Parts: sequence; C-alpha cells; structure tokens
Amino acid sequence: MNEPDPPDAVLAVRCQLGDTDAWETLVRRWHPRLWRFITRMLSDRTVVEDVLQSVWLRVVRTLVQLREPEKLTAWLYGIARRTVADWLRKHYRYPPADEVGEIPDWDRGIEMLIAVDSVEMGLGRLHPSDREAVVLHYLEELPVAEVAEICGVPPGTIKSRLHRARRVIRSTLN
Amino acid sequence: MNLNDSIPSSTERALAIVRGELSSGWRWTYRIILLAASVCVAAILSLWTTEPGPLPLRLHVAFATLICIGSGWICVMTWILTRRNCPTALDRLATAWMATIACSLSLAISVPIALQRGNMQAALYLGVIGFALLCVALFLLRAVYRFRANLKIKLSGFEASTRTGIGPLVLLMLLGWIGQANGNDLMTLEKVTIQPRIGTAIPAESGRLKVPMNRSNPDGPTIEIAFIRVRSVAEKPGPATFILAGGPGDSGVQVVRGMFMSGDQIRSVLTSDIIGIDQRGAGSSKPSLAVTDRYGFSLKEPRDPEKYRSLMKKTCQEIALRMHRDVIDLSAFNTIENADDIEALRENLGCKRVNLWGTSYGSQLAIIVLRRHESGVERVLISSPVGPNHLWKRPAYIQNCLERISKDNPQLLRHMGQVIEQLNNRSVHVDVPPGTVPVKRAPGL
Repeated sequence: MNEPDPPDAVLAVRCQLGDTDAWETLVRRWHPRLWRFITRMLSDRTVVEDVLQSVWLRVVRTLVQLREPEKLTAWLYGIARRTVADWLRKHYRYPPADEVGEIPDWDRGIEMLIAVDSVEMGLGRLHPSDREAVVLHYLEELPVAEVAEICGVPPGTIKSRLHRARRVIRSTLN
Repeated sequence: MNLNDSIPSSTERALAIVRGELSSGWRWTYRIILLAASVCVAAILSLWTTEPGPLPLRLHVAFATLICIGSGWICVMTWILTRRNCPTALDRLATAWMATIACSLSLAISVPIALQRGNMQAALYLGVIGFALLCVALFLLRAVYRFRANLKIKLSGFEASTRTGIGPLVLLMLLGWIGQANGNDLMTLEKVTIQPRIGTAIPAESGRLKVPMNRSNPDGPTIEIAFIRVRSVAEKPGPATFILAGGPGDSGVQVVRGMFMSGDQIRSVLTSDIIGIDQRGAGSSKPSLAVTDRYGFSLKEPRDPEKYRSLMKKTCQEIALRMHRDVIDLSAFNTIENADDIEALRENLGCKRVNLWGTSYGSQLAIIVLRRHESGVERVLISSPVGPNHLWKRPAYIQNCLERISKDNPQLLRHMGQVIEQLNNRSVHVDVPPGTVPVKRAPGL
C-alpha cells in the first residue's frame, strides 16, 4: 500500500479492483463504526453480531457495483440500516417510516448486555426512523444532508425527526 | 462495561468473513465445473446429433438426460459466478476468461466430431451455435476489461487529487513567503529575439506564468502558461493585445513569431504591445497535452466510421489513463479555466485592460473571457468566429446549419447536392499497386 491512510474513495476502488490489503484496511476502518451504529440501533449484542455478519457479506458481494466510490460512507450506512430494518421486520412489525406509531419496546425480553448511558437509554424509547437519525447525526456526527442521503428522504424530514427525537429524549432525561 | 470492549474480536470475525468471501478457491472450483460441463455438453451434443445409425430410445433418453444435467450445471455455475460470487474486478476477469476458454473448447471439440463423421449440416449448426456463444463470451470479456480500465482511471483520478494534499500546500506557502521578498514569483520573463527572414532581430520577452491546474482545488498542483511579448515602439502605446490562437491546441507564441517573420517594419505600425499566449496544455506551456499516439488505422482499408470511432475511443482512453498517471487533471483543461488563465496573465503583466484577438477556437475563448472578466477587456476582435458551445462539428450539426441558412436561399441544399453528385460522377478510379518511395530529409530541415 502506498499511503498509510488512503481516503475512503481510493480504498473503495482498490477493493473493487481486487486488492486484498485494501479490503483489510476497509474492514478495520469501518467495522467499529458499523458496530457502533448497529449496537445503538439494536442493543442486543448477539443480534448485533448476526446483523454485522450479514452487513459484511452484503458489502463484500455488492461493493463492485458501487458506481460512485466517493459516496462510500452513505453506501455503507445504507447497507447497515437496510440490514437492521430487515432484522426488525422479521422480529417486529415495523411501522411505516414517516408515521409515529406505537413506540416498540425493544428491550423487553432481550437481555441487556450493554450498559448504556443516559442518551442511549433515551434511544431505546425512540421510533426506529428517529433513532437512526439521532445515531447518524449526533453519535456518528454525519451532516444532515448525508443522513438524508443514507435514509433516502429529504433533509427536511431528517430535521423534523431530530426535532421529535430531541423532545422524547429530553422528556426521558427529565 | 465499556462499549468498545468486544470490537476487536468482532472486527476479526468480520475480517474472517470478508477473507472467506474473497478467497478464490471455491470460485475456481465453480469455474472448472463450468468449463468441464460446457465441454461435456458440447461433446455429447455433437456425438448425439451426428450418430450415423438409428439409436434405441433408451440411448436417446440417456443423451438428453446427460445434456440436461450438464446444462443445469452450466446455468447454476454461471448464476453463482455472475450474480453472487464475483466480488472484484479480478474475479470478473477470471470468470470471463474461463467462459471464453469454455466456449472456444466446446467449439473446437463439437465441430471436429461432426466433421469426422461427415455430417456437414450438424457441423454447420454446431459451429454457428458455438461461434455465437464464443462471441457473447468475448463481448463479456471486453466489457470486463473496460470496467477494470474505468476503475483504474477513477483510482488514478482520486489518487491525483489526494496527492495534492499537504506537500504542495507547504510549497505554496514557501513560494508565497519567497514571493513577498522577491516581487512576483508566479511569473518569469526573459529577453529573447525573433529573427525575421530578412533584416535585424526583433527584441521580445519570453515569459511563463504559474497558475493553479484546477482552480476549484487552489492548493493543488500548478501549471505553466507560456507567452511572448513584443513591445510597441509607439510613443503612447494603447492597451496590449493578446493573441488567442485556435485549435484548441495551436500555439499563440508561434502565431506572434510568425507575424514578425517578414521583418521589423510591422513593429513600426503597432500601436500596442503584442502578447502571444500558449493556452494551457498547448505549445510550450507545461504540462503539454500534445500526444504522438496513432489510432492504428490501416491505410489499406477504406475508412469505416464505426471502426474508426472505436479505434479513436480506445486510443483516447489509453491517453487519458496515461495522463491521469502523470497527475494531469484533464477535467481542468477547459475553456473556463483557460479564460481565467488569460485574466491571471493580464493581472500579472499589470495591464489595466487588454484587447483580445481570437481566431477560431480563440474567438470562443475571447468571448468567454469577455463574459467572465469584462472589466479587464478593452476590445475584442474575432476572426473565423466560433460561438460558445459551437465546437461540435458533427455532420448532423452542419446539416442543421445548412438547413437554417437555406430558409433564405431555398436553392442552397439542392445546389450542394448537385455539386457532390457531379464530383462523384467525374471522379476516376485508379487501380495502382502501392509502391515504396525512399524519402531523404533535405539538409537544414
């Protein structure tokens, strides 16, 4: 490898070309971020591992189809959130993304393995679509425009989800 | 418990999955099964169809079953290899090559069997089918090579834009620092002379101006614009005149040198300094985009637009790849950046306003300079004008122009047709075998 820290787009193209070192760098760089994202979306470590494995399988099988390597961040989070959504669909009824339905009680019956701080306690009470907006924007520190691209909705929708989520979290903290 | 406790082990598991998916052992097995199944199906099909004697029903059934099983394997392996199990360009390449080899072998086995048994009809059918499949495989192979070449172009583009990170920034700061002490570090000027065919040498200045290669990346690499200036001898010279050559690719410096070839007299009538500019990528500007590649078009064959186009495309792709490797950002060699170079030169030469004299593409450039930097332009003279966006000289475009003109002159298109027809009728076809002519370079050339 020429540079110790190549940018994501360079890494993505090298992976597409079949450079195994680039794949290793990609996994080492991105696994912690995806792990954090999925942990905050699902809370249960055993499930997190399964979902993560599916994510990486999808990534390795479809990265070659990525047309715009400069959008690797959005693409990876997109795969992660779709895999999470698939898992949720399988295990819960997943209400349509833009409706505030009943808040599902994620943690009922699931052994809580991870000690969560107060924000993450609040996350558990959020609707999945609000929750992913909060995780991506506040915890993964992505700009609203990028979160909107990942979730496939206009930036305004993300802003209103964040607003709603802040209200719920504030009431939880109080 | 710390949230990050189990990340390393989780990362190792993810790495194991990715390595497992990337390891090519299973894929080679699939490919070899694909090859073997193709060859077997081709051989059985050939034996079955060319069987000279009548066969009992159970053998027909056996042959058909074998072919079905073989085809099933081919379909499943093809599906696995193309849809699910081809994670990189290298894998695609290996699969495409294997498909090509499988098709070639099938063709090479089935047709000789049929020929040996004297069944010409079966040989023909098998040959046509095998050849069609081979063509499909070759087409796929070509697509994969193109896919890989495009990825490489993308990669070198990204790498070029990241390589311009901190190093040049430091260099630029350093240059800025030297520049403060030393006047203008971006421009150099040296005295030269232009020697006309008759008469005394004319004094001139040859200069170079550094500008950013891509102004959207001001910290990126710089390029050099070459120019030549011939001073006016008038007592009160007017605003300087910039000569913008055509092409794009012609040399403005050479245009100015050519202007003075007939002697010094022309300088006595000049009311302004004349400045010839080698636009970015052209003439002696650096880097030069001039290439010596040939399309490889055979002179013995008649010109075929399709073939010509594909050869041109291939050559252009190769050139683009090479230039990306040389950290040349081709996207920055456009008229907008070119016009901004002209403006930068005006500023650096300390001219308040300049005249622009543009010919052909130079006229387009002059108009864009006028649009973008009107305050620095005194007058614009355009010859052989080309309007902005009017450089695509495709036949359909010319036809549109002619049709538009013929609204005022309805006879035009008919007359043109007649002229072409007459030329076709009067041309004589000469059949002379090509010969070799020794050429000797004349002394002094």
